[in-house]
Amino acid sequence: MINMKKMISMITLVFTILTMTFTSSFADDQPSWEKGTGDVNVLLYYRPGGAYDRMNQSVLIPLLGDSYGEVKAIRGCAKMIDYLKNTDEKVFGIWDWFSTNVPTEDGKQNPCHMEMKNIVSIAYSFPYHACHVKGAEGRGLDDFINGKGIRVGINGNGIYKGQAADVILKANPTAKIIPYSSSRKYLPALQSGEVDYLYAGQNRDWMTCFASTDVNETQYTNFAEFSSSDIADKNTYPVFVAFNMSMKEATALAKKIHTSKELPAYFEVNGDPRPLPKEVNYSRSKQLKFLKNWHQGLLDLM
Amino acid sequence: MYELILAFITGSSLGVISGIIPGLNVFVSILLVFPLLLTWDPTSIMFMYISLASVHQYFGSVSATVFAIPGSNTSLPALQEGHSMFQNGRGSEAIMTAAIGSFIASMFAIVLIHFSLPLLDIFYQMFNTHIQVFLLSIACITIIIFSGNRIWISFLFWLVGNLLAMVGYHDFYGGWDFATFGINALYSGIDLLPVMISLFVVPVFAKAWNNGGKIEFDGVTMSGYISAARTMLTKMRATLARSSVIGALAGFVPGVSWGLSTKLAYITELMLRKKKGIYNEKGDVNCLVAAETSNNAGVYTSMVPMIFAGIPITASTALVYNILLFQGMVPTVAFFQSLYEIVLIGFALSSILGLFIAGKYVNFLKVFSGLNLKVFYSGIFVLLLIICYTTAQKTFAGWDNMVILACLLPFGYLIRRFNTMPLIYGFVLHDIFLEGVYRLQSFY
Repeated sequence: MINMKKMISMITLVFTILTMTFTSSFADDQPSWEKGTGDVNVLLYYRPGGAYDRMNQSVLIPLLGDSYGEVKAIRGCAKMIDYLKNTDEKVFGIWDWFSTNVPTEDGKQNPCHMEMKNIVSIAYSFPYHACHVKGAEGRGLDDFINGKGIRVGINGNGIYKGQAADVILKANPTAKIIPYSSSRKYLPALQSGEVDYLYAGQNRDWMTCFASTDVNETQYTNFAEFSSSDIADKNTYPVFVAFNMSMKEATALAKKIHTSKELPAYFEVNGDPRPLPKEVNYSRSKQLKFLKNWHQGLLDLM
Repeated sequence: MYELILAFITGSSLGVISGIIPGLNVFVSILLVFPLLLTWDPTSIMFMYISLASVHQYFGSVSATVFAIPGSNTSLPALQEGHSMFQNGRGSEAIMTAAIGSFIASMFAIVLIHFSLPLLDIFYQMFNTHIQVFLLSIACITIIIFSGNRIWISFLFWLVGNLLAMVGYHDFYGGWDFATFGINALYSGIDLLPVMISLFVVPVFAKAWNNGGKIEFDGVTMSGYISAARTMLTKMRATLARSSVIGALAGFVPGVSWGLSTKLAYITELMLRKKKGIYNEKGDVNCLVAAETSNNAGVYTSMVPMIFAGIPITASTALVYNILLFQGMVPTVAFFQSLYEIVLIGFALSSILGLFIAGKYVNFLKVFSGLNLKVFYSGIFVLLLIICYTTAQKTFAGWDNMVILACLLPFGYLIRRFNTMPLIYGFVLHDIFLEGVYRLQSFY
């Protein structure tokens, strides 16, 4: 005989689990991004909560205002490219053009390859700093240049590795370059003493940074002053990209972002204020030429 | 005060839900309440996080034990040992001992960290590639030797796990494209969930399906808890101490943290029990307790680098850190240190809550008692398919996961006679292991 009480309990339990599964998954569909009423979507292919997501939230979405539609979060840049090629929706976003346009090991086109025609403008500059743990004895610019076998932790991903290695080794040929896949790994490595220095974008209150690739950051010594690398005074540059938008509309939006108070405020909050690179004032064609040449220079280093 | 209570309730509730549902880990759970967190003060955010992470561990092991649903990769030992115990009518014992072990380890971790504050610098030495690679090598070698298969078969499984994890485009290794066959969906690699379901859960189901039978589950009682606690404190002291220490120390390893602590403690216990010839093939309670003990200890210690050095070492603590940045604050070391007491209280409270509400939830599961195992596993399998699809669909990858699952399922069925734990360990530990080995070369 069927135990009705038991049956009802079981159905309730299964229903509860299914409801939780669906609601959590659907809620998770757009977990941190509320939809707007406009028609311009913002792309996100990196991890939610990461730097690009924070910039979307703090800068892009507020500045899009009523034009903002929704955040298109797609796992991985290759699938995002698929989406972008096939959608007829307006999409605007930040793209890590430097690292995603590196050919694969066997020389094929990167699956995340972004066409130049979709680049609107340089978004901002990403300077690199040389830093050590605050108060670390004997550490500093002189040791960075002359110290025998100093260990320097870097972001070891793709094109950034070649760039870092060139700048560092042309300042100190005896340095050991130690690659890490993320800041969650290289920051602890510096703290623990596994590496003596970091060559990275981050600056924290427990670190002392003394050199920068950005000539505008006058509080630091520029790398070009002690490294013979051709790229010692060059940053990397994420770009704004647009799909299904007129270049006029997209450029206007990029300019609005560049002249906003939100963009400098974002860097201020992250503890790493920086000026806009002078290249954002170039014409679009000049910016594209600059990016292309600079990117080719990096590829040659790899 | 009101916001702290709300933070505690939110964190604990999310811990329950994320513990039960696979794919909904601590990281994703925080994303669920992301907009809410942006309006909270930092103290409440930390309080919510620690409650969530702590309660999550209790419920993940219950789901793995009863349903063979792996809430996350830290639930693998609970699935292996706990579910075997459940199949053999010892589900209540598995759940009670795991919960008490988790609670004891939580308290141990609190005491350990509190009294080791002056020695914190030594703990930071754990942020070291050499130690990490050493620990990971030990974990892999031990699971290959002691998984119960022939060593060459376990090695093969481990290798396959690594190969599956290698699929994708690897920027870190100079643009290495491995086995993507030009399919864009594979460039970001293969998700853990379809691999775990098809190659770990399905073999467990297939074996049980062949055996048939009915579910026998009596639930848990307060007297049962007390009795289990007594037994553990008299007969499992060594296991508890060993696993708590392993859990607390391995919790410091960046990138893996309590994921590694669980595996190391489980493998250590497995090795010791097999060497002594006292390992119970039908579900070993000591191995289960070791794993569950260590992950709770690891949850707490993984917070320590953020609190005392301002460095998040897990994806979820990094997300919490980023939420603080979102709010416009610059999180300094001094700021995090000021939150130490509140984190400690939150962890202690949520551990007590986890222990008791896990018991209540478990008793609700008594409705399954007497159910035919074939019906039970069919239902769970359908549920897993839904979960596998919906959790990936959030980033438009639902069908990708289903196709991968369909491709791997026949293999899962074919290898049902073996313990496929080495394969899953190979898959889960691959990234950090390979990166560690790759980085080691740079030092010499």
